[in-house]
Amino acid sequence: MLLTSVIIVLREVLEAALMISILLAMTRKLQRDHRWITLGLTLGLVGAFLHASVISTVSEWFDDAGQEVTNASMQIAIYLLLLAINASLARGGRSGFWINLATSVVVALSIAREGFEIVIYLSGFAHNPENINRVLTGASLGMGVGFSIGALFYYSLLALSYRYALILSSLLLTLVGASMCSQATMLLMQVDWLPSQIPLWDSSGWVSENSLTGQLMYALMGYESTPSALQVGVYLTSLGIMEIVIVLGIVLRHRDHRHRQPATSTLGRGSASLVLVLVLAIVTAKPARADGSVVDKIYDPYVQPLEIELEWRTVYTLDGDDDALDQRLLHRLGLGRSVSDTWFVEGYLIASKNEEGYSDDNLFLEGYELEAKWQLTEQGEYDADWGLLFELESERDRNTWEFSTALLSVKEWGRWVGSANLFAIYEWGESIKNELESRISLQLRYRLSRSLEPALEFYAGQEGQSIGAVLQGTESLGVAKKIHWEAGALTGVSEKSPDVTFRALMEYEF
Amino acid sequence: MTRMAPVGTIWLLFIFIFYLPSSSRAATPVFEIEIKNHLFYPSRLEIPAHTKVKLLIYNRDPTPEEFESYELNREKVITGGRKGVVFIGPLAPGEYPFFGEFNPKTALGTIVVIPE
Repeated sequence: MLLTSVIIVLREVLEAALMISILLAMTRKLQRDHRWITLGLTLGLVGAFLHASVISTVSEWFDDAGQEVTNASMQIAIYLLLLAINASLARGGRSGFWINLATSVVVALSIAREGFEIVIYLSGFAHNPENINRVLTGASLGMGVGFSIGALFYYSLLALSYRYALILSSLLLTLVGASMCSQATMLLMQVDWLPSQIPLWDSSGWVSENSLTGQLMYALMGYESTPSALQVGVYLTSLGIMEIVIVLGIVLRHRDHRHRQPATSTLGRGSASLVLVLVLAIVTAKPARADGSVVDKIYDPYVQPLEIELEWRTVYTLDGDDDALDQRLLHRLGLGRSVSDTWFVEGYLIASKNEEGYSDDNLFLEGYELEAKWQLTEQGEYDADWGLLFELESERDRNTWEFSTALLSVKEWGRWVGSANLFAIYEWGESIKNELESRISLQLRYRLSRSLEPALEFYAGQEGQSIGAVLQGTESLGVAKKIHWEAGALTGVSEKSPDVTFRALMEYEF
Repeated sequence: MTRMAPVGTIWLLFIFIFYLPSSSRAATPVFEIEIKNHLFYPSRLEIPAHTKVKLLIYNRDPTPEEFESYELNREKVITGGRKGVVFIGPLAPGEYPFFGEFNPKTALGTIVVIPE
């Protein structure tokens, strides 16, 4: 009884506590008025009791689907408000009445939702004096644990630098928002407003929903061990919409910034440290890289015999604060073919525009690259599939060279595919400092259908870190001919990386 | 060095996840499929559930063929007169269609995963 009430209360408290701690940390970092959150807390508590008092009437609405429908509506409202909050954050986080109100309402809604369930649960024991003490002790413990985790989150976020704190808050709110949508889907399935489906997978053996890890993952990202395809789809779609809104916000801020120099955006306020970093970087002769973007593509370790491939890929960056990272464009055009069952070679022409170190504003041919891929293991033979990649890149004008070796690996979990590329890069030449660097690219992809697969990607290296969503697909064009495409937008999560990096790829295999 | 630390940590974490044991190391059962006149024999192959399986695909035609299946997430070109190895599974019970990319109208087959 004691433990049950700890878990039930913790589950409810945790979700609201995490969201409020993130919003509170954001408010502090942006130096907004925190009284709006207090207002939300008060309204939420009133709402929780109000909700509990009318629940028997509400339950009868919509042919007894009232409870689920109101709950789902509240969750969708929270998602929409988080969308607005994230958009304003991406545009620079300027304070304003509407955005403060939105924050307030999100807090109120989440407390009214979670608090209501605690009130209902506890009121069930009101006439049961034998158990009430144990239940109340359990509930207090649950609340204590929930609040402590919330406080831990709050102070961890505060300890981060301005920019990191805001980026992390925005990412966490994105996850919480998507989890709201997935939960709303489940509630609507429960009352048959949406079609029910069998679970897509069962990961309860891995992380049980009842464990503390499971609870935390549930609160933070809506983890469920047996979700349906519809839930997963809704989750990924709401993540995608949120990311599009954030990217649009950053693009708009970037436009504002170009129209009136110097920058006055809030993230720009953090640019004092950025300027310092830049000055330091220039003074200490920052090494120029041939392709100054960490975002590229994810390599798989597979080679098909008799394959010829024409490839074009491009990255484009936007940055509101740093001109060296702004509007850089890089194209690669490659032609490759397999030379055996396990080796594939490809040559590239590299063209760029606004690359750092060049004053030229036009697109020009910057260098060449030769690449060889070696498939080490058969697909599915071992727990993971492995390959090696070798690249030699030469920059024409600056007479610099770069040699890299990458370990390529892919692992499947049902319809999920994880890929990792680990690069060791050595650069040498006249205008740069000879040095060894490392880079890592990760991708988690869901094999929805041949023509459309969503994926999350993360890149980290000397040029910073970027994370974002990518869509890809393959279309057949007759016998043994196909087109493969990839397109995505990634946000920078460090000052060294551009605010947004767009990437696209088109491959023709024949 | 400090710059390398977070990247290194993420990498280690990833390796750790990769090597969470996912299947036993028992001997992998082998099944054979033949390609003759642009057809698969057998075109219906039964394999056990939740078991990794090794498919040996013999191409008896002089022309190349590609064993392809989105459901199985496999693509394998087998040149004329050669054999190819494709590992599949562990899979849940059900039917998983495959086809020959170079003769997609005729070269059709199904892997049937039967429950133990």
